[in-house]
Order: sequence, then C-alpha cells, then structure tokens
Amino acid sequence: MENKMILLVEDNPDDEALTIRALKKNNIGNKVVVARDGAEALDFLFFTGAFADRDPRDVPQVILLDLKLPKVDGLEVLRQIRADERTHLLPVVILTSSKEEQDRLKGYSLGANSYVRKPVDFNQFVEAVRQLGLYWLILNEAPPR
Amino acid sequence: MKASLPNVTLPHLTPAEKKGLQDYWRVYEAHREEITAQVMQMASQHPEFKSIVQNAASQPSAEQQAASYNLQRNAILHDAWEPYLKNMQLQGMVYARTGLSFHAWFEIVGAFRRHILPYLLDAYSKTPQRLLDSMSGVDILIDTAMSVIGNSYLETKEELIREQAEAVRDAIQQKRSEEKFRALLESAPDAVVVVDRMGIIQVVNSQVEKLFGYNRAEIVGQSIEILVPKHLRKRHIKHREEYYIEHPVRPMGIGLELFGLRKNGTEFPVEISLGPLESEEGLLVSAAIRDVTQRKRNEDEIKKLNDDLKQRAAQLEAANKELESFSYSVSHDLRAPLRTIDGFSQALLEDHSEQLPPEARGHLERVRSAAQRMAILIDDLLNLSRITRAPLQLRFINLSAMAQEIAQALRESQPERQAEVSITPGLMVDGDPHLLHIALQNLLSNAWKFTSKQKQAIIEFGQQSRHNKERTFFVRDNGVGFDMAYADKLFGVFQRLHSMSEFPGTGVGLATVQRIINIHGGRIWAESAEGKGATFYFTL
Repeated sequence: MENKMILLVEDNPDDEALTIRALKKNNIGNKVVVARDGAEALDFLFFTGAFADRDPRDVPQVILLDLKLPKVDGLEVLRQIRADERTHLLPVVILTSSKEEQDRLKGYSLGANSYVRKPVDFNQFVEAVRQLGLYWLILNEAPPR
Repeated sequence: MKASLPNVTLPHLTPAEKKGLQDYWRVYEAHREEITAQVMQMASQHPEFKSIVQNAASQPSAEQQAASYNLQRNAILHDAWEPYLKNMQLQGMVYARTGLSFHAWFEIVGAFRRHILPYLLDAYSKTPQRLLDSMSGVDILIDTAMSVIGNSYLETKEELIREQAEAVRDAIQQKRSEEKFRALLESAPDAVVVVDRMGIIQVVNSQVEKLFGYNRAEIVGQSIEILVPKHLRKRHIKHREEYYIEHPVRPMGIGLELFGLRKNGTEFPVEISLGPLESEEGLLVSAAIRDVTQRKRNEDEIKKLNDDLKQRAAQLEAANKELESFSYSVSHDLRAPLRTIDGFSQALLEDHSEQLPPEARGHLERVRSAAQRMAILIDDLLNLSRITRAPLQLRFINLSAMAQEIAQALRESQPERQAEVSITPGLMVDGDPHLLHIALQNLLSNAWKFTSKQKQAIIEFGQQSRHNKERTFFVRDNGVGFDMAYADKLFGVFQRLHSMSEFPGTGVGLATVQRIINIHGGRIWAESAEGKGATFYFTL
C-alpha cells in the first residue's frame, strides 16, 4: 500500500508553516514531508544520504517545489527528477514567489506540471492550495508505476 | 603624294609635222649653248626664277641636263615620246611642289620660243614652207610638253591642297583631343600625374600643384619619386617597373599604406588609382592621387566613437543585468516577508479571535491590507521596470477593440455603476499589443476610478487629430479631475494627487503609461481642472 504523501521543498520556515496551514484548512490530510533545500529533496527522492533507509512506500503524489533554494536550486532539482526514470513521471508543481517570465519559461521547459505563484494575501493562498490539492491529490490519476 | 602619275597622251604627228620638228631640233642642236645662255639670262632676272638660278645647289647637274636633253632628242628623232613626257610630268610635279607659278613657267617657255625664232629664220629663210613647218614644230613640242606639265602641275597642286587640308584637319583633331585630355585632367577631382616608361613626369593637373605644393614647371620632367617619401622610394621604383609589364587598371598598393611627399617635406596618406595610357610616345601611366588625411581622421574618429559606444553598450548591458537580477530578487525576497506578515496576521485572527479585543483585530486587518498593498506596489514596480527591459514587438493592432474589451471588464467589475463609455471604432496603430494594453488599461481604469463619485460617468476614447504621420489619441472622463498646477507631477513614480482613502492606487500607473508611450516614440500629456474631468492625450 502506497502513502499518498506530499513532498514540500521549501527553505523558508514561515512559508512552510503557511503552506501546511493552507493544506490543513482545505482538509488535505496527506502526509507532508518537508525538504529544506534542493540537496535534501534529491536525497529523499533517490534514497541517498539521510534518506538512504526511508520507507519506500512513501511515494510523493505531488511535489511542491520552491525555486530559490540553498545548495541545489529548484530548477536543478526539477531537471534531475525528469532525468531519472524512477521519478520522471512524478507531478511537480512549482510554488514560488517569482512571477519572472524567465523562471516560468525554464520551469515549464524542464517539464513542470504547473506553476503557481504564492500570493501575499493568505486567503488567496489558501484558495490556490485548495485547487492544487483538488487536482493533484484527488482528480489526477497517478501515472502507472 | 601619289605613288605613280597617270599615263601620258602621246602625240599623233603627220609626216610633215615630224619633219618640221626635226628641222627645229637641228637648229636647236646647232645653237643650244647660245639659246640656253639667253634663256638663263632672262631667268636670272625673273622675280621667281632668280633665286633658283642663283642657287647653285638647286641647279640640275650636268648628267641630269644631259639625260633631259637625250630624252627630248629621242622623242623628236626617234618617236620615243613616252620617256620624255614622263620626265615632263615629273618636272610639272616638281614645279608645283617647289611653289613656282605656272604663269612664270610659261614666261620662260615663251622666252625660249622668242629666242629660237631668229635661228629658225636664219636657217630656213630660203624655204618658206620649211620655215613655217619648223616653227609649228616648235609649237607642237611646246604644246605637247606644256600640256603634260600643266596637267601634272595642276594635279600635284590639288594633291598638295588635299594634303594641307588633311594636315590642318589632323592638327585640329590633335589639338582638340589634347584639349579634351587636358580639360578632363583638370576636371578630375584627384591629383593626376602622367609618367612615362622611365617614371618621368610628363603631365600633371592643377590639383597636383595644390596637393604637393609644386609648380607644374618644377616637377614635369622630374622622376615621379620626387613625390614619394624617401623611405618608400626603393619599393616604389620596383613596383613601378613591375606595373609596366602588366599595367592593369587598379588601385595601387593593395593592402599597403601609401604616402605622398609635399615640397615642404611633410608626408600625408594617399590613395592611388593607376591606369595605362597608350600614346604616340609609347605607354604612359596615369596615377590619380587622393589625399585621405581627412578620411583617415574620420575613420579614426568613427573607430573611437564606435569603441566608446561598445563600451557604453557593455556598461548598459551590465547595468541592465544588474537591474534584472535586482528585480529578480525583489520579486522573490521582498514578497516572502509580506506573505509571512499577512499569513500570520490571518492566523492570529482565525485562531485567537476570542482573545483579541475588537481594536486589536482592526489593527491586524490594517497590517494585512498594508502588506497586500505593498505586494501590489512591488508588482507594479516590477512591471514598470520590465517594460524597458523587453524589446518592442510591433504589430498592427486595433486600439478600439482593445479599449472596448477593457471597458467591458471594468463594467463587469462594478455592474452597479452608471457609466457611459464611448469608444471610436476602428482605430488601428502599429505598436506592441502587450504594452499598449497595459497603457490603455491604466488610462481607462483611472478614468473609471476617478468618475466613481459621479452619478453618471462619461468616459470617451478616440482620436483627436492627425498631423502628418503623428496621431493624437485621447481618454476623456467627467471625473474629479485635478489642478493643472500639479500636472508635472502626474507622470512621476509614486506621485499621487489624491489621498489613499479617496482614491486608492500605487502612483505607478501613469509612470508606466508614459514609459510605454515614450518607447513607442510618442508623447503623453493631460488637461484638466478640479471637478471638471480630465483628458489624457497621447501620440503614436
């Protein structure tokens, strides 16, 4: 049995808390694993480093990926996810402050499934997370494994 | 001169005439010396013959005289007329060429006739028929000879005239082509030097005098190397000699820096075109020399300006990059704390509402709305900076349709408002659709916003006038308007003429519009009075 978990890649603890709050407010009870930089996210996905012995039944249903990250940035994380056959079909939603065209363009061209800009207004943020959860956790059929 | 004379007509003589001629000959032979002396005596006093007779060099030799005598003799005694008459033809030609008049020649012949008559009378006085026949023999001889000489003389004269005419024509032609050549040479914009096989200057034009500081007389006849700087002369001589072998029309010294040497010793950069000139004196070479000092200076100047420009462009690009990374981090990093402020204020309101007095809740709402406003401000600023960073994407667009669409969205945002928006249809322009949409959006939103206190809002978009290629559009409203004293502040960033509570806004909108209109090459201005509405004009 797989756990429909969410991998949140976010270095800002405030944003982390707000995202988790927004998920809760939308009654999304899935397990959330937080990676605080790009390297940690890759370790989690590829069972390396601190995550070498993690539960293999934890398969992310969706990855919420920030772009500005310490060590390995979000676009590089995305590139490696798409380059590895174990992860290349995972849904990845870029969740970021930036609405710079260059980020959006690079994100989509590297194979991001969505691109969501974190709104400042928390109520709008909750709405955005609601839609994300609805689509990626409930409506979307995960790719065959 | 003709190579051969025409055939002579030989006389047809009766036996009686022949006998008369021979009778004359016998008398002439007998008295040749006396008669010749008498004729020569006469000739030596004749104005035309005088100089010939006195000039020993022009006298026929004894042999020539003997030959001439024999020809006459053989004609008369042995009917061998042709050689004699051919000789007479030659005589006529010579007279014509020496310039003697035919009339003078007749006088000499007349003299001969007069001088021989007494001898004939003396010899044949006893036989009148023989006397008459011998006298007519003299006439036959003179007529025959003179008609040949005369014809030859006239033909030769004609020939001479033709030759002279041709010579005159040739001379004129020559003079004309020389004049043409000289005019061409003088009208050339370049200094032109013509040199011969040995490199000696043959012809120069006045531009050479001006350029090199020499008089014509000083350099014609000199070696061309006088105009070449000393350190380049050896090379020049070698190249010059090589050029004579092939002599194509071409620029000189391809890939070499060429220099001229003035009379005063200064050198200057030149450009030279070479061309061969066929002439009677053999192959000449013309060199068109151009002073390129100014051009070199201009080139240097252009190069310097170009380098400056490159440097500026590099600086500008660096500045742009910096701005880009600045706005990138603004976009990322400045918004994150705002999210925290707004998000946790909201969390407080939701989770601890009961513990908070109403005043505290009000304060938290203020914190939230300030954070949200600052987020809008940041976005507006980023948009403003993005406008100048992206290159213009020009398309042929329908401004009217664009305005219509914006107005529709505004109506839907506040369906309760009474507003009349009239838009002149079919206004087409060349412009960046994305940017012009932002501009129109700002102008129409402003009009919408500042008419919000009007019972019946009236908003208009149209084209005012057209001067040449410049078109003026306007957005007019009947809103609160503004005092023209502040008109110059209108387009500054963060400049606002109304309080936040009255009309909310960031003060970036019109600055953005102005930048968009400016990068389209247009201008924007406004006319208004407080309480009387406002009109914004822009040109495209």
